Amino acid sequence: MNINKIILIFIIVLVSNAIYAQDEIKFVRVSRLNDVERFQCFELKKMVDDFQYSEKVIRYDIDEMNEFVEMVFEREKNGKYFGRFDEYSITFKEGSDFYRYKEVIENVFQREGIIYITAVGFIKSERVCNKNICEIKVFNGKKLLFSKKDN
Amino acid sequence: MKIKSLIFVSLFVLIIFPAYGQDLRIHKEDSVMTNEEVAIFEKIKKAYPSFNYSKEIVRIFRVDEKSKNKKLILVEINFGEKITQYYDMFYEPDSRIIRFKYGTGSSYRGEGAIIAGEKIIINSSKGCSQSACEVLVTAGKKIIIEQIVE
Repeated sequence: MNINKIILIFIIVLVSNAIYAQDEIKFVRVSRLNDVERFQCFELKKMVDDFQYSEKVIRYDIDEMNEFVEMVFEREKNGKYFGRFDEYSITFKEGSDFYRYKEVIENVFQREGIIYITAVGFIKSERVCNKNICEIKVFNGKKLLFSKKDN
Repeated sequence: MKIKSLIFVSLFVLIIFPAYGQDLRIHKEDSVMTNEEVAIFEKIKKAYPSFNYSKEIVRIFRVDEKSKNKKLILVEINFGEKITQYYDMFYEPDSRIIRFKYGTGSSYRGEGAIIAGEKIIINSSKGCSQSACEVLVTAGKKIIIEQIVE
């Protein structure tokens, strides 16, 4: 193989890798909260006692207008999130004020809800199941406004 | 010889390094809702008759190129060309929460989330016109929170 052929292969590999890399970065990337998200989470953490968030996120570019963001949490030594949850997730779309959270302790507890920041505080709607008894609750700040059995 | 060695090393670096950090990618699949999914959306429609959806969906997977694991992360409702305004509706697997965002430019826009319980459907939304936003949380026809923000 002469030097020209090697250089040609080198250029092809270089170009194809560059194209491939751009394509992948466009779709999924491990990242951190941006300034707005960090501020919102920081404010929520101050207002909501049990709100936990992560700086590390995975960003999915669904299309030009949609970026779905999933926080990345680490399991503790006992294999649980925050020492007790089998599942713990927070997701949102970039630019949205609505955060979805889910906490699961298998066969014992499940909580899934939406929390969002308003001009004066936050509003939280959630469905909570303790064993087989489920309830739907709505909070305006820390004030419980609605609570009803849901099974 | 020196040039050949350099090229060899460059090739090696180029092949190895672009792979770093690119193990994850998105895979989209056009699909239709299962009967269970339709039942949830019909329950919402019963509580909120003006609620619209499409049975055509896009299932979005996260694919790990190394392990070849494929995990469903999101389901987007595919409204196609049926609506003229921007409308984004999606939910996550094993979730009772459907989220949506809509808008016709800057004059009218909003977002919200619906919790589809067994018996109770909660709709939380924030809708904005050019002059004000309204935050509304309802359980069917019952208004739980209504706030106007100038």
